[in-house]
Amino acid sequence: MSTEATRASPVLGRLQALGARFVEVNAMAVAASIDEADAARAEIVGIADLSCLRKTGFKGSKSADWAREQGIALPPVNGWAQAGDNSLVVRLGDSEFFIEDSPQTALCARVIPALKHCAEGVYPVHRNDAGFALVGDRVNDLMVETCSFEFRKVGGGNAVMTTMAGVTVLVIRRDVDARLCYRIWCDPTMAAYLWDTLNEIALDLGGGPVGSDIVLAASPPA
Amino acid sequence: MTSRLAPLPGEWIDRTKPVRFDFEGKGYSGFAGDTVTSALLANGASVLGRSFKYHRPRGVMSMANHDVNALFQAGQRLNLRGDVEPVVHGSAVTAVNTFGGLENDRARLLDKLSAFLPVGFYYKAFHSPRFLAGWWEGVFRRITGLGRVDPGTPRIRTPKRYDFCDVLVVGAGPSGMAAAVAAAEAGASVVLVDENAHIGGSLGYQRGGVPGAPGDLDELRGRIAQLPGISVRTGTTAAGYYADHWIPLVDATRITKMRARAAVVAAGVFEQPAVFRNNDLPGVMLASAAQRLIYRYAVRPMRRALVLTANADGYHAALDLLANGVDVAAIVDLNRSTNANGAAGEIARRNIRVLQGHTVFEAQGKTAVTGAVVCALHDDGSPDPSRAETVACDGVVMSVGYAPAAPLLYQAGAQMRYDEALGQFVPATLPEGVFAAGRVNGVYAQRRADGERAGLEAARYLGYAAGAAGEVGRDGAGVNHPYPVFAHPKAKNFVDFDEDLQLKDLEHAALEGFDNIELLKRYSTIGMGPSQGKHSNMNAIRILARIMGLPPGEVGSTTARPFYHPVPMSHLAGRGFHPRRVTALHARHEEHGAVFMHAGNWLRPEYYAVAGRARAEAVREEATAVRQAAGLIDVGTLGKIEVHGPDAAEFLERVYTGRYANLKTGMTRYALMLDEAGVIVDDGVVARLAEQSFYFTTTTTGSANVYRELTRLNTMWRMRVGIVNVTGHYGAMNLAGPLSRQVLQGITDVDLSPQAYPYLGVREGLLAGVAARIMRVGFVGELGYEIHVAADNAPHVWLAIMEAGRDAGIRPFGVEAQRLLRLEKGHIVIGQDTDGLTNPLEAGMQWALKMDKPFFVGQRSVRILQGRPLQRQLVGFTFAGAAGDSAPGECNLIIRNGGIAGRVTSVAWSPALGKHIGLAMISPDMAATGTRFFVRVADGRMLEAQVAAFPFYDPAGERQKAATVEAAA
Repeated sequence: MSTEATRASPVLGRLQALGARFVEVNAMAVAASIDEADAARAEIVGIADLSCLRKTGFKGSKSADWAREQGIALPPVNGWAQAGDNSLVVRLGDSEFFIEDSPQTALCARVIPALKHCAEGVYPVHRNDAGFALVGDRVNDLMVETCSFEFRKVGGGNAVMTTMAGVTVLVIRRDVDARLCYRIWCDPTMAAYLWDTLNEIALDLGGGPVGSDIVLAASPPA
Repeated sequence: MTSRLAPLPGEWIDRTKPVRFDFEGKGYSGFAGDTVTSALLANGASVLGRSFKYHRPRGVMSMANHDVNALFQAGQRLNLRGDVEPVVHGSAVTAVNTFGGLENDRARLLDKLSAFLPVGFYYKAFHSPRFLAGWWEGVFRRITGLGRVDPGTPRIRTPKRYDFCDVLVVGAGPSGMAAAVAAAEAGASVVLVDENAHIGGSLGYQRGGVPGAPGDLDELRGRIAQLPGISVRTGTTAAGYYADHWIPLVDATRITKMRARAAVVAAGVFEQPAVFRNNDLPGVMLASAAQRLIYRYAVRPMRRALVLTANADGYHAALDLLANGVDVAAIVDLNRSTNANGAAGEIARRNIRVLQGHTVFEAQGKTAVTGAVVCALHDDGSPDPSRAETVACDGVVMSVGYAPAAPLLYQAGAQMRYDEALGQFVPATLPEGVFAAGRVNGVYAQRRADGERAGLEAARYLGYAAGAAGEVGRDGAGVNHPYPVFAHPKAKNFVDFDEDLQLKDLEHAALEGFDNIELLKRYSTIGMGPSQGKHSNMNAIRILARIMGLPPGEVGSTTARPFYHPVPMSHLAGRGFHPRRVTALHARHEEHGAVFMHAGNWLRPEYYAVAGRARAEAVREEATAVRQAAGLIDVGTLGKIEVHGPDAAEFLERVYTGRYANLKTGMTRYALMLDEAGVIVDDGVVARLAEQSFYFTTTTTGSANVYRELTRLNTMWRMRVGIVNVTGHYGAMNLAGPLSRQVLQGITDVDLSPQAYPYLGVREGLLAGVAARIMRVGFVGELGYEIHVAADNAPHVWLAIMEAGRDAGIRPFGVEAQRLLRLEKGHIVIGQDTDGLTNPLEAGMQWALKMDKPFFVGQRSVRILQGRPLQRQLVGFTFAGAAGDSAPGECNLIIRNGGIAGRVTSVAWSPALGKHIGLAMISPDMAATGTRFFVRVADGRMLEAQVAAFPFYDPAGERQKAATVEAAA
């Protein structure tokens, strides 16, 4: 059996071509940094690949009750909350939830097995989304080139399901180190296209790709 | 000779920044802030372009962004409007639409031939005689078209962007500025757009001879500057109006897609020309054009003007001319008594001659105005040439009325009505959230108050606590002359300057039966030129109304489509957003040298290139590897859907034609989906993972539609199921070939032995150390395993299989090889071997229909179809010939007795069978095995083929069901 990472980001090739420094997170090679200019780019518009983070989901008429029984923080509809251990819980509607762990947390590992045996009205949703972060002072300039939703008015607790450059995305605002940051998830088969598109605009704005450290090594939001 | 005036307060030019440029090869000078046109006129030029059809000399008409006869080309940029295009130091500019240059345009001969170019000439030329249509097309293509496109022009990046505001105010004249201030002071975020370089609108140039800008302008500007809630965007056109207050704003570099919560349209009016002979001569211009030239660019438009008017604005314009060094030879007033009040008194005090009840009958001159023939009007408003005189002048200034700049209101859904008293179309009802203000609303004198009203109403509409707005009445009576159109026996009295349409052209069009405004527009092309009728539609309506004996309101008006103002093509292109899907294995395919093809919005490997091998050879080698050893294909594009819940089986029973209630856990079954008309819409494989959990595939292009349809159905049926579309979240690959079991067994903990894992079984286990779902299915007709893993695990699993199969000679194979292999096996492809009308009886899929079930979607229709004769039938066929011989192609027609009897749906050379094989949809009476028929191939030849039984390969299915490796081999 190969000892290489068993998971691959949908934009791995793009990051390898940049000569990024990789580390392994959750059995996936992740670009921790691109080069010494990461911080400078991140001040303008940095785009980071966070696809390595574990995710899962569940839906069904009784999913909210089930989540409560599991001790999962329940955000409002179309909102998100941070679980006590720094995992993310996003509520996509009345009865659908999306969970993403941080590199240090294991909420998904606890939830996925439980979903195999849950009762009627709670159904597992396999999530293998690509996950990106857009960080920097000019991120909203990028957003208005790609999306008809007014992100300037998105509060910290909102979750937005919209299209960006023609791709269906889930977006939340989760600033890092007091700098504007949006987390974006999309279907992994669209990820390369979306990455290329966002990266091109970020470059036009004076930013570009950055390593995951910019986001994951930052102080967790309060 | 310079026509530049001494500095004027409020002028837009910067005299500290001189510029030099070339026009038609001659050097000119100007200042920063000049347009090309203003700079040329300042240098004494008057002829700026040639007309579209007759190549007549043309000059300034509007100076309002609508001078379509003064279009220029600067290098690779073409059709630049000289009246707004900033002059650039060092640039070289030429006129468009000339043959041999502006001055010596050889095509000016067409003006002499105008009698032979009647209205509708294009249509008539193409209509008869027919044999000349091609010749005429060549002629028209040579002599029409504006500007020259340089195919080498680099792509200019003009990314679009979205923007948002509470209130969008279109037009920054007095009403628009007042509306913006009122809305912003109420708390709304306001974007104020104006197509001009500076805000102010008519306040800046309609001064009535009073030095300096009016106090209103400075005050409004000051308040706007102090209000942080107002964003001012000059040089920006609101170019269209779409649903939900979605308005594209076009500026010099991009389109901004503005989503406003409410809009105030204060776009003003388009001043309208009078129609008289030679009204297109350089030097004949709208009064507002002359005023813009003076006050914006400090250019004296002429030395001695004749003012043709029908309202007070004409008198005010005369005062502006007088105040800036222009002699006014006379004021020719279409009215028998003036309504100019104070301005008329001032004119009288200056001893300017005023001719009441007169008109300009014709302008004189060849390339510039040298005089004008003025005559009295009959009581019915027609000219009386018997009472004519000639007045020496070098310019004619027209102020006979306006048309509302209402395209945005029309596009927004406003109902407009013709106000007889105003002589103008005005809003009757406005859509929710849309407000009109100022002259577009029929308010002329009180337009600032009307703007304030509209701004407050917009703010209140959005929930802001705005004060009550006072009513403002329409006060434009007497501004617009009801019929400033004057016949002349020698014609050349132009109604439309874009398309060179004369009064007689519209009269003739109506006589020919095109007497409806929409028909008239299309036949005569009036309003279809670059200015979109801004200066012609209103007169055309009046002319048609008079011909038909109707009031203008009953003639109606046309709606300019968005964008109602021309937009650079580069802006429309913008940044390309063309979402493209690739599977998780895309990088692996690139490593293998894949040649990709589009399948829907997916990129899939068509085949894997091999050095020294042609495409066909590479495809055949891939197919051979699958038949003889093992091949691996990426099938991650298949739709993948899960259904969970107590009613999951029953749900699938209803959705698909087969039976799933009795499907055992751990087994799969083919699934065929119909629509309610019994037409095949999709197919796939259903796997039962647990009593209440199913996982199934759909066609590559069908996943989104199938998921949407399942969701819709369950919304109606309300069954206890959860439906999850996991198409992109799983990667999938198909390992096929007689050695596939041997390849796979070494890297999975699933027992692949035939006893433990039968054909059509599904198993879950570890493969290369990661969780996998494995289905034993055989689309290509060999022992095979369809492997589904989490998308991010797919590259790892692919690599593991390829490594495990190296000794067995495994090869990746692409879509083309798969198409061949499945054709040999007789498996159809939905959407290729079927079309949007094919039912399962025609496709020979009765075996997939469980008609004894209580219900499935399409069952009732199939039952009806069963009682009717088949209209067509899918058959297999073969034809003689060797590999590489000419062969029918997909979609080639099957011909019988000169008529169409069917079409080829799939065809390929089969290396396994050594012959060409195919499928065809054919008339049922030709479907018997052995029937011969002819296919017309692309080059027109007829090839004979013969109906053959299919599957062509392994008809008993022994290979895919292989119980042992030996059996498979």
